[in-house]
Amino acid sequence: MTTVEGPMGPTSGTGDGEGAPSGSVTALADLRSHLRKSKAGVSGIVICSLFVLAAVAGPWLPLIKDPTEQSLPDRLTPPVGWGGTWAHPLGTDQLGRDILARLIDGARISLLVSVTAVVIAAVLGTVLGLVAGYVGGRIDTLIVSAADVQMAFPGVLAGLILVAAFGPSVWLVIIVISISSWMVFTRVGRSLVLTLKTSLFVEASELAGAPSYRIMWRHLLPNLVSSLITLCVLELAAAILAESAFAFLGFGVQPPRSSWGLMIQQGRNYVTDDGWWIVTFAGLAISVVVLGVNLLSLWLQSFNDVAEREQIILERPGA
Amino acid sequence: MSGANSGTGGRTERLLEVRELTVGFPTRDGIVRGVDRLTLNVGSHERLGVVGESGSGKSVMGLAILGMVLPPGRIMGGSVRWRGEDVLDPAVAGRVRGREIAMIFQDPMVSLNPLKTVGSQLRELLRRRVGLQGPAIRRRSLELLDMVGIANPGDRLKSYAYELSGGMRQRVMIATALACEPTLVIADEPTTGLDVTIQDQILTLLHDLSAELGMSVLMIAHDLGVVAQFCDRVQVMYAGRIVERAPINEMFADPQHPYSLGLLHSVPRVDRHGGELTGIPGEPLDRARFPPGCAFEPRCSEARDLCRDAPPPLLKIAAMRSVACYNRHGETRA
Amino acid sequence: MNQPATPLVESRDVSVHYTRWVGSRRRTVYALDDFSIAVAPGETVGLVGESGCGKSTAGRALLGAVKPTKGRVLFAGRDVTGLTRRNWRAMRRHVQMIFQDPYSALNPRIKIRDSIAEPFLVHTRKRGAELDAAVVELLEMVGMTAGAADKYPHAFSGGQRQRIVIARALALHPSFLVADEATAALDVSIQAQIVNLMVELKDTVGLSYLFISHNLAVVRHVSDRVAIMYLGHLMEIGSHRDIYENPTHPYSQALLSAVPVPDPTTRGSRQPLRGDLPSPMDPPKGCRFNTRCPLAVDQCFHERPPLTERSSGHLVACWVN
Repeated sequence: MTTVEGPMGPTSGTGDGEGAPSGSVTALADLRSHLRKSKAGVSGIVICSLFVLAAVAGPWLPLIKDPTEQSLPDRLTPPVGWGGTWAHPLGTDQLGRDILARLIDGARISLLVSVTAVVIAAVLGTVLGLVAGYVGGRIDTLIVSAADVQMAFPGVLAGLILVAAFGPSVWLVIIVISISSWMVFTRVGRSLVLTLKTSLFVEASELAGAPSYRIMWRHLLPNLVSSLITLCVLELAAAILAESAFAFLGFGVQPPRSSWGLMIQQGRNYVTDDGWWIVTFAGLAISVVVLGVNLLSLWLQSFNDVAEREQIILERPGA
Repeated sequence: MSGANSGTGGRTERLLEVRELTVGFPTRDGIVRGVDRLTLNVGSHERLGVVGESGSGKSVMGLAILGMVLPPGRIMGGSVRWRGEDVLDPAVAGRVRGREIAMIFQDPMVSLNPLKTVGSQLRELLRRRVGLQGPAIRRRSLELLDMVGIANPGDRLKSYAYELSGGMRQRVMIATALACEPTLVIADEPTTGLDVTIQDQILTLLHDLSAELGMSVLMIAHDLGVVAQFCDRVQVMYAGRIVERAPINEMFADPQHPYSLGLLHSVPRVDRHGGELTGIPGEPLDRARFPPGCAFEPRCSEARDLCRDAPPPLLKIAAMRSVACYNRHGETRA
Repeated sequence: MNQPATPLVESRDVSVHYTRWVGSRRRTVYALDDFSIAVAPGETVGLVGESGCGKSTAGRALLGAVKPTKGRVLFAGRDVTGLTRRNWRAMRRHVQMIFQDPYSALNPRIKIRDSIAEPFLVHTRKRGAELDAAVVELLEMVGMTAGAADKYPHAFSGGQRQRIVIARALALHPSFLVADEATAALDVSIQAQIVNLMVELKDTVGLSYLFISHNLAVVRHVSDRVAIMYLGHLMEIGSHRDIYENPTHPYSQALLSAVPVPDPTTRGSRQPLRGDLPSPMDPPKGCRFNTRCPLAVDQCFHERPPLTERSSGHLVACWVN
């Protein structure tokens, strides 16, 4: 470990107590120097950015074909390097559709479903957690019991029932995923609130006569945000997997639109024949994105932990 | 128990000699020195007090003397000698630490194992460190608990730490410290957090034990009252350095460093009414932004240009008295 | 008691008991028993005692933050015990609190401006420039600069935070402040600044304080009258002269002699009080101090001694002294 002397030569200081971050270092600089020390964080951010870019800008990217355009003469073209051509870099599927284009289209669905579902779950779950933790009493018991019941209820079963009742659709998948993950936010939010509400600043606000909604909104919620954002990212990974699973089971997006889960379902018949690339690239896309999202959440977690952040930033003096 | 004649009495043996000890902590603004070139001696049969406010480095000093610094901090220089041996050498430290030099901390709940009874902790200690065996262990355990004033020591051996009150836990802590018959006890805020009447009990106990067993005590405290009632000699720390050192009576009757003076004028007295609390203006130092000169200069009413240039050294101004202040160095005192 | 006119805040025989689960058993905690005290306008009453003596509960009961199991709380002669939460809200303008831990008393995610502005937003129609001016005025009143308003709490030291907490408490010009160990967490040099600020504000703003502390020296410095508590009972109450120069209850005497005086010439062979504090879940019968009292007689173990007046305004609850 190398050390440098402070800017004003020999300095002396204190060791007792916690180190307060000095005001000259901005939060942005912190973020940058923390990120510089974390390969996992960088990988997570790169993967997630590519994923979002593909999903948002995909259709407008040059050279990307129409994902629904079929061309039977070109069916099951292998990818470049296995006898294919740059016309279809990742090859084509059983109907001659471009795999790369379908992956990018699948990313759209994946992002749309997972983000929407997590946002719904987070908003609902956090509000319930806040109320349960702060108000307490019977309302708390009611919300906690509901979360416990939901925890024990399998999401796939809920999906099956809803599909049976309303028919498959993307919105149904969103609803199923959000109702099977809201309680995670409720539980975490509630336990944080239980600690926070004993803080003197909450008591001070109560003594000032502030109404409950004000205390929850102005005092408790801002102190939950950083933990809940980390949780959101973590749940996002779960939601991406869930979306693929539902698509694979045929509950979600319907052909001719594409989804990674759907690609695996349709491609699995060709794994043994000459079509291994359909399943492989779709599976790879799922794994890499989920890994990237998990890395991002891990990094966020370490960044949010003040002690850990300080330690990492100080490990080697930044440039 | 009197500090009045300390130093003039029989020659005391030098036990602990700390020279230029420096402990550094990495921060964004470079290395900050929690303890800065600190020098002190503890003699036999002596009760030395170290006073300072939070951030003065007094607790860091207490640990560093035993070669213990919490990472990322580290000892950057200086020496610590115990009867002439280098304590910063891990081999020596292992032999001295917990045996010849024992430590008592502020919160005994942290130092006592919550899953073991008082008896089993004492047993382990006596077997491993002292080498006792068989029934001697129990006899010694009971004796130790009795020494620290615990009633029904037989029952208490079966208690867990959480079953004991704060005062009782501190007594158990002291008993474990005494197990190896140490020559020096470093007590870091041993009564902070205890109620006044319990604090009184613990201080009296420590005082009586140190007199009976001939132990020296290095008492680290923020409470001037505790130091005034307990110690023979005292040194005041500010920002990692010792700013003044004096026999107890002289320190309280005639403090020399402006910081010592300010501290004394900051505490109201229970035995006297009225008088103004002048306090010390300004805020405690931000640990990263230390002036190149005297650390107290920004809060000092007597500061001169000289004070801003380089930190004043701790110089002897009279017998047994040293102060780190340019304004006091010039004066010759009888 | 020799109160001039109506006391500003008064409690009459207030008891606070609550239940707590200890393991699988439900136990009653006797936090406060028959607590009667009166604070006159402009007066500072010190409330001293060791941990578990109920001093914080007493302060919170006077503020209506804790509901008394029994007894009444009066504010300016008006019974406020039975007020609903909504009606208490109006009372909040008049009574406020300063806390022990200035680190936890300010929301770390909210700018100082918004913390101080909250009472105005809740109780008044002040907004915009008028509100900003009010915040700045409060900050300057407690010795801070206007620039502090736009920073977050982490930018300030403990002493500065305590000043901000005081500014927030003063926002609506309360007449009564409860200071619960307001200086306990601060370094001595800063503690003196805060004590001086509170004494100064008392005169400039016209405040009454209930000054709760375990630090007898600080209480002596700031209080007009002092009350000493032990395990939920009031043991002695009187002027600061009565308590500090003529302590009558054996507990008051023991407590005062246990305080280490920062003066080595006062050393002497003191006899520390023996024994530990009993648990408030299982308080002794009769006088609660009987387990540790060097003077206890038979009666002390059976009957609770009432507070009786020994001289004008000096009340002591002891059978012996």
